[in-house]
Amino acid sequence: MSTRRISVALTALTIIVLGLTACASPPTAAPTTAPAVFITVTDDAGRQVTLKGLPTRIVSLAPSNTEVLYALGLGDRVVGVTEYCDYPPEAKQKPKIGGFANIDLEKVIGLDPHLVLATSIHAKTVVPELEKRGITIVVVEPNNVDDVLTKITFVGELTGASENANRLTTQLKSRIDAVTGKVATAKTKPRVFYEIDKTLFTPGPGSFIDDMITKAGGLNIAADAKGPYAQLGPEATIAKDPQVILLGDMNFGESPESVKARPGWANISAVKNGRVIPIADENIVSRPGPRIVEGLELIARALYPELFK
Amino acid sequence: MQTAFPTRSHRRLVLLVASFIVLATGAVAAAIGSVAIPLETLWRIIAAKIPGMTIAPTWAPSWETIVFDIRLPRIALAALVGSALATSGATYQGLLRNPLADPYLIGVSAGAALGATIAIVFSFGAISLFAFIGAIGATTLIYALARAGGRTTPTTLILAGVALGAFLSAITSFLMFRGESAFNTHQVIAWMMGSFSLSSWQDVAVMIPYLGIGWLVLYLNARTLNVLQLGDVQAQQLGVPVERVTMILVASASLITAAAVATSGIIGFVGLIVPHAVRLVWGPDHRFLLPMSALIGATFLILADALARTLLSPSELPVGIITAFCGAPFFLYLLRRNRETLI
Amino acid sequence: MNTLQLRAEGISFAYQDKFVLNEIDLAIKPGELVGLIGPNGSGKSTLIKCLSRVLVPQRGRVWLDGHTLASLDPQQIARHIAVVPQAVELPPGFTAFEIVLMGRAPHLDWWQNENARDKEITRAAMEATGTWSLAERLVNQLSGGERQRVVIARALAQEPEVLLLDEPTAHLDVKHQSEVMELVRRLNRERGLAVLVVFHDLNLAAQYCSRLVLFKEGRVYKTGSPREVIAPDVLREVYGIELLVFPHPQNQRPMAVVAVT
Repeated sequence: MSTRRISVALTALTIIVLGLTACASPPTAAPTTAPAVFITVTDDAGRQVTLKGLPTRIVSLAPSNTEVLYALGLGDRVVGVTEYCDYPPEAKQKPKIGGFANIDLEKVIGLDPHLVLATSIHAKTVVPELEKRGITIVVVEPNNVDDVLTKITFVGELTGASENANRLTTQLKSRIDAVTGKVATAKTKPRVFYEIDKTLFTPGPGSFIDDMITKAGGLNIAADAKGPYAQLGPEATIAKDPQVILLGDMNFGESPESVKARPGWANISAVKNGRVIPIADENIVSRPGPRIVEGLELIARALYPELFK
Repeated sequence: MQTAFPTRSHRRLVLLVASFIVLATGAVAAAIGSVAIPLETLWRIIAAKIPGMTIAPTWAPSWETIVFDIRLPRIALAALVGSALATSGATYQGLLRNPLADPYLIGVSAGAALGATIAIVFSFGAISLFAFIGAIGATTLIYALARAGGRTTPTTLILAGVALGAFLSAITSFLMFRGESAFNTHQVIAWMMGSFSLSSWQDVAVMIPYLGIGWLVLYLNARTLNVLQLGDVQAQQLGVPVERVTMILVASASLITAAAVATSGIIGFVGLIVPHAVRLVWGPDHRFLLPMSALIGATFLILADALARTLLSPSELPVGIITAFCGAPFFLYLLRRNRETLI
Repeated sequence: MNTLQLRAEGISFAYQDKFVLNEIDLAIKPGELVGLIGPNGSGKSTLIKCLSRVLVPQRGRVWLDGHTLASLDPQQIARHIAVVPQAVELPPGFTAFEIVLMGRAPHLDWWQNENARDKEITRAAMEATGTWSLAERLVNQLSGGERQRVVIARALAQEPEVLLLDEPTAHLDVKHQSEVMELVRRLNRERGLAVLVVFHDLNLAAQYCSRLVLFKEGRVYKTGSPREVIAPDVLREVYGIELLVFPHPQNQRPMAVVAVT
């Protein structure tokens, strides 16, 4: 037999074996009895998801969702979290299933979850792959501050913790209203520049932080930017002359001193009046979970120090 | 004075052994993962699927899903992509008469990266499709560019590839920058480094026809590839229609590379190191070089992928990083050992 | 016996805008051993390429018996015309046998591999050229003379009727020059091949060829028997130096040496 014939035969054999294995793979394990349908919802990616029963094993693919679960008192139902889920501290003890967008499918499936909470960054990649393997996965993605409360209620529905959800959202709502009520009395609103990083990435209209700035009674200088994230040049930033600068990049080495040292920045009102405020834990400002309200309060304090003693 | 015709018959045996090694490596890789499944249980899970066998399940149903829907498709895809890249690399090295050629030299990677970036930055989804179109489009353009001056020689092909590649990379960088989203940039870079993390049987099914056609055409042209090693002039004087064969080889090799890249990103070193190493050990006869490169490429990438998903579990390393780290020292070692037969 | 003849009719070829060949008329009949001589750059190698269709002349036609080369595809041409190129570099890693076996390519369809008959023809070609003992050796380990004979064997394996050799003895020592030319002459006589050899050495050309063609600046300056072409006034016009010509003691063929001043 010539080499060529053997190679062709081996290729054919390999393809047949692969084909058989492909046919042999099961979609998922078959349930033994017809399950009771617990609830059907539409998630934030527009998908219809049906939960078959109360989920007691929950995996979270994002720190925001982890915080929501714990805030609803469901900490002991959480069986898997990401490496970035650091709040509350107990969450760090849970088994890790991956990082930012990089999720270990095998680990998730191995944990046998009844429910997986994902966000929009997983929608096109991880979500369909887990769905294919029979995992119940729901995308939760709040768009603004008020939406966070809606999603907390949503997660409460999914997990049978509606009572806790109600209590939590009522609390949070009253704190939000306290802030918006107070700042409504202010006569002039300060111009605000939120710095995400040194290259002057800043949140534009439609972004979370922009919503928070507005609720906290500020005027985002990037309000006329083209998208939820914009990069203002130094000239534009100086020209708009923000009265308050919020440093979201304090943990990357920026500080009021370093900002002052930038060429041309010393004349900005915020710098002249010493209102460059570093944000120590920027997670409370960027993570769309229950602590967003703390973030709102922090921003409001920075914008109106006299109103919020 | 010898009487028998010289043959290299031990090569058939080597190919057979290499095939078994691929299967064995696949089996070993199926036993590795972030969820610890004991080897014995693994065999039972697989055996239970053979028609006629009745084995009572003593394992969690999720383990079956993990073995058949996560690990096996990954392994199969790694094998297919590895063999595609190695075969394509061998073809380009033969066609361009350059042992440093790789499958990405004639535009496939630059085109695929641009396609993928467009899909990601403009949120079109269907990243694989865009990458594939980009790869094929770039290769066609480069071939046309090289042809425009008359014949396509290895030099004109490489020059056109470098020129257009640089241009496409510039557009890609511009799009990434203008995309103004850290997440998009992260996604593009992650895609470019190559990964099998979300592989499914659908990906395998999509790859098989491209790989099958491309591989068949390339293998049938193996003898002609040998003759091409004499150079364009001598090959033509031996009756080889050099221009036409060049086009067919470029088309087929690019097809399988584009399919590989569309499925799993730009995984480097496999297409460069594997065929070169095979040639250093066993010589340049493409009738052996092509299938052997395919088998070793498959084995290599199955192993690289197994490492990629276990080294930093539960995080995953892009498999392109593993291939780069493993590839370079291996080649240096072979180089030292075989100085005289260095091509 | 071979009956095919190769004929160039009014061949003109230009690289970009510069004409390197001008209206070349040349015929090689079966059994002829024609020598092509002339100064460097006079277009000899270019003619070989035009005769083997590697280059397409802008004017004129090349006839293989009743067919123009333009009407034949490369494989058909290669079945009748074999070329032994100048000082060839063979790709390392192949054995001599494998290289000679490549000479069967014109007779195989693109998807076919060589069969037993092809291997038999290859062996015969190698035995005829005295290279069968080198069959299992890697070509990059062969001497210049051995490599040249392997390439001639490959040309023979093509089973051609026409053989074109481009300076086959360049870079070879006296012994190997003689070996190669004796081989070519023997093949020419035994198989009735139509042979054209490009020479850089006038005396070698005179010794072995029945007819010489002298090129000057891309044109045929003179064609005829060695005695007619290797003549002092002819050579002075073409090469621009003074040459003394006298007969070889054994066969009276002309030998030319440079006149010393």
